[in-house]
Amino acid sequence: MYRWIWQRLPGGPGTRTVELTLVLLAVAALLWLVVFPWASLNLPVDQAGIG
Amino acid sequence: MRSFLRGIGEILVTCGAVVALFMAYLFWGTGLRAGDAQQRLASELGSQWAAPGLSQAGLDSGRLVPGRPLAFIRIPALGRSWRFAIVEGTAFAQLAVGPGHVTGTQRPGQVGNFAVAGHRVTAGNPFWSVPSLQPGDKVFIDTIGGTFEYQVTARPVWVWPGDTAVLAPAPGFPGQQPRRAWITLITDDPAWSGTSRVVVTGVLIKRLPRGSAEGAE
Repeated sequence: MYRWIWQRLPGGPGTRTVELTLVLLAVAALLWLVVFPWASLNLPVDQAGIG
Repeated sequence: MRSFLRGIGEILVTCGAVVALFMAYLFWGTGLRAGDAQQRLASELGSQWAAPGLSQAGLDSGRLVPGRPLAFIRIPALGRSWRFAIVEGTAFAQLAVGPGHVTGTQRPGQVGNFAVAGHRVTAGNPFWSVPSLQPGDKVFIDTIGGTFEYQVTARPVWVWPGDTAVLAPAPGFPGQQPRRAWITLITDDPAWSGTSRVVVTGVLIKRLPRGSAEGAE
């Protein structure tokens, strides 16, 4: 999986490392800002209500 | 075969990292989100109380909008700065910003049962220490009309999640006519789960004007 991404990134090893880091950070940001807020409101974590 | 197995391994490691990041979000991210929301709710309550034309009568009989703040809750036994804005409703979206008033139960200070549910963990862990409350501990509810001082009457009780009797106007005695103004605090135990609820009940002992020394923060 990571090799597949690595082979598709342009540039030399140094550039690719930077690019891969940016890709991973973008994915983490998407998870943290969009996916996790949604998931935490829709998964039954710590249910406190009654009825 | 080897690259196939490596691919599987990479996917599994990635899933592990995502789950670890989600745990971090539940521990800290939800707290940050709730902290921001609490600041916003506090200033919303402040401007509501400062605006002319609004009164306790409006809180007693007006329509409560889910997600909007209606009062502050303070429990000195949980810390001098322990204070949260209570919002209307107890859906996940509402409990994510702070403790929520159980829709359909009475309003602050009214005869009957003012029921408030809150997260034990996540969203700033508002009700983390509620199960440690003891008889005699004070619970203050600050509203537009003043501060209602409740006193915890009994040790916490553990109930099933479907036990709506604790929400009855006379807590624990559905169908009976209430004679006093009760407060019921609800959270879950064990934390993180949905297995059972802990309930703490108190009774109104005093009504103080807003901003009085005894009721002041």
